[in-house]
Amino acid sequence: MTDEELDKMMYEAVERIDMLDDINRSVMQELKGKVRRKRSRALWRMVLFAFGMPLGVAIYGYVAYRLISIYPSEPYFVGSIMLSVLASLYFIVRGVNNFSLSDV
Amino acid sequence: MEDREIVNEILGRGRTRCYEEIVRRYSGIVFSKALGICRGSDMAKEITQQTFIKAYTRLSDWRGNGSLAPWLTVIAMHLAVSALEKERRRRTSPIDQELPDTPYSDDHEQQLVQMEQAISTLPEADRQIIRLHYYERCSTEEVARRTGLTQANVLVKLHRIRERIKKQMKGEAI
Repeated sequence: MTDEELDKMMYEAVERIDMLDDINRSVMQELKGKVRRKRSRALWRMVLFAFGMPLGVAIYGYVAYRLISIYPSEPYFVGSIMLSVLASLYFIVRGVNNFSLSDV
Repeated sequence: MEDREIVNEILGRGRTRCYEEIVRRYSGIVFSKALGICRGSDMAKEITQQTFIKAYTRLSDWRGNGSLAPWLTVIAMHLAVSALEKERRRRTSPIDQELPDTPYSDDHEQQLVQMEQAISTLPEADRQIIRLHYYERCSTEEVARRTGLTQANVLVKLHRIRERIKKQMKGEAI
């Protein structure tokens, strides 16, 4: 390798090192942003899970209770409401068991 | 630290910061591979970034125990080939007509990687001198002024650095 070639290669190598630094910086910046977004989604999901689901269950239970108390003498109606309440409870329990913060 | 240990840190403890070490270790290799396929440094740069981001999201799929390099290289190759395909479909003229001025060659690329490694083994002060003299095209007088050394000292240092790099390029022990 001649001196001139060595000089040129050193120039190119320094240029390449700068570019790789730039790549490294932008990759890490993007990844940190992604992780931040993922964490914030997980937080919102947890808040929704912790407050939203109990609220939904409470509203649903209250409506079912009101309907049963309005039509207490209709056994088929009461039965179907109870069945739907049980089905909802089953799905809620399954949702609680499957809940994962990382699975956003 | 081995690659597997770093990956375990990231996956087990969620330490994204550790990934920086992986990116630093392999960005040169991945860039070279992407450049070999794309033949354009802008596209290669883009592919390198995408490769590391994709690799991060699929880090749990990596089953190896040695180096991450082969796995990253495969991802880079897939991304580069599909980017070229996309580009080919998008353009009406063939890509070959718009190749960069400096043609790509495997030998040159290999030498460049060797040179990068040689430069990265230098002490920070020497790297600074190289940057100023060879990259920013500063005269030895200017280098001396900016580094606080004497001009004679800069000349001696430049000579030693060149000799050291030459030896490393020839594969000789320093």
